[in-house]
Amino acid sequence: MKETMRLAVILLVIASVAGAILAFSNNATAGRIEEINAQITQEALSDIFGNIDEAKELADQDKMREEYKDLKEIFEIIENGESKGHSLTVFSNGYDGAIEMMVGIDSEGNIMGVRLVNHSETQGIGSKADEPEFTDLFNDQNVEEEIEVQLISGATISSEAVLKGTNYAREIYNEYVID
Amino acid sequence: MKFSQIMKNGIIKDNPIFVQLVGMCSVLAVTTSVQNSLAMGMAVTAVLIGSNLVVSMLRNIIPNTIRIPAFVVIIATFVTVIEMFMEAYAQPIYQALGIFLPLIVVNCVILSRAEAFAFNNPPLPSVVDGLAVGLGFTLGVFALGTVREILGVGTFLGIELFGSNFPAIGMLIMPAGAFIALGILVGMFNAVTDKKA
Amino acid sequence: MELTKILISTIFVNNYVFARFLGICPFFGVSNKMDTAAGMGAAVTFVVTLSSIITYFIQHAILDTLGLQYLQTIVFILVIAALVQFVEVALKKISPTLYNSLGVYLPLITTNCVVLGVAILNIQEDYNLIQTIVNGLGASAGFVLALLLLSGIREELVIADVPESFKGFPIALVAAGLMAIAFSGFNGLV
Repeated sequence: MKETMRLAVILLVIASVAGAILAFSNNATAGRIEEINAQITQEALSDIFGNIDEAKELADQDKMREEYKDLKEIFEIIENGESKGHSLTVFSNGYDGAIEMMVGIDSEGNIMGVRLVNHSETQGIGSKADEPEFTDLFNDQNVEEEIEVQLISGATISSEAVLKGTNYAREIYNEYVID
Repeated sequence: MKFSQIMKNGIIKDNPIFVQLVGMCSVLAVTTSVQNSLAMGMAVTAVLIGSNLVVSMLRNIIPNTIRIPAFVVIIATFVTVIEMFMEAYAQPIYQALGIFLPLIVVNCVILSRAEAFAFNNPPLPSVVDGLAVGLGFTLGVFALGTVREILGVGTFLGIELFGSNFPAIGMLIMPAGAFIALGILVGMFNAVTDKKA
Repeated sequence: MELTKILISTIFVNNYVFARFLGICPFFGVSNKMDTAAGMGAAVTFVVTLSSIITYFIQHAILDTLGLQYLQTIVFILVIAALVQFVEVALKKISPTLYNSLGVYLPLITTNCVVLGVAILNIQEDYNLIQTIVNGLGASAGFVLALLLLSGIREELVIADVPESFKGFPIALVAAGLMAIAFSGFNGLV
């Protein structure tokens, strides 16, 4: 019994030291990780909308997420005091885990751009869905109707995931964002 | 044991990939490109050096009966720390390696070095052993990544090598290609090393 | 519907061995004989399903509530290691026969990436408890299927005339690659 106690104590000490080290490095990196992610969102936003003064987070997003659980966030894009459109960031299942993607829609309901914010699709195959040759196909389509594009042969799963994600964003837009 | 001997064992004689065939999950999964392969190789090397050092320093404190859970805790700590710093400072690579980053924990290479070497040797040789085995691993993934990226996409580190008419064998980038390419590489490695012996 | 989809997807389309490369070490280690492969498969199924359930509760009840997500890897692997140990002890007492046939595979399971991989992917895909269990079962079924198929082929390969330096692992890898091609035929099924 005494021996078991000794073993448990030793293991506990090792685990606590490990926990402390992890807590420390989590503290050291958390801020920086948040910064990087904010920066990536910012870059995608200005890539789609050009100059923007403010990206205002929409209210009631928690309620939307109850119905659409793959929604990450919605921003209203403001320039010179006027609404320029909305950006919807959603997750869609690709070949290798979730693809985080942003869909930009202008105030007339036309798609301004689709950008893949984060993904781990196979380089050289699935990553083709991240190139302008594909993502530009979405531009100027109106979200009133189901969006359709030609999928990439050889990267069907990844390009279909992007298409699905865009239509998912479209549904959310039509249900919640449009007045 | 001499350091040069340890180095040679880790890199050639007991190469973790070509000879021992351990840590296969990550090897097959991340070698779709040279860049990912190198990143994975470096992450594994860093964890190996770290865990070998700590295991060796604690080898007189850790009782034999609970050594495996203790090793696992030490390895998981290093893996998680590296994961955090990668996310903070090398976001694209962090994304590309995905789930295989936390899975370094169960990479048998690392646990087997802790068990077979670091637990019975002083810190300095253990660090050298970690470095050697890590380099052997990196060399293996680099070779496989190079073959798969050049033949499968026609690029090396993302740089186009043969112009756009190159008939890339797309299958090599897919899972099936990983198995076959590694099988052929191991066979060739065997053919070369057998002749020497 | 959703559940059948997960099941078919994990067994055939995204087979953990052929599409995700999880569980490769034991895949090649014990796949040279059919019956050892079956033993390993049974042990893995048991541990994967059980650990999926336990890690589900740990993630949602403890790590998420306390904001300690960064401890995920270390906690999960400890749970798996403890679970394997526990299963070993329990099995020895309850059914010595079963222990004799599965016992040797159990220690190997701690470092089987399928177990940790499934646990982490369950959380990443945001599965609920039922989906978690189904995913665990599907993943192990896919693993067992792959293991049995390859061991069948490797038993035949023993008598085949393979170049000296390709005997053993290299030719098994090539065979696995050919099977992965066959499995990629399931793409688009779901």
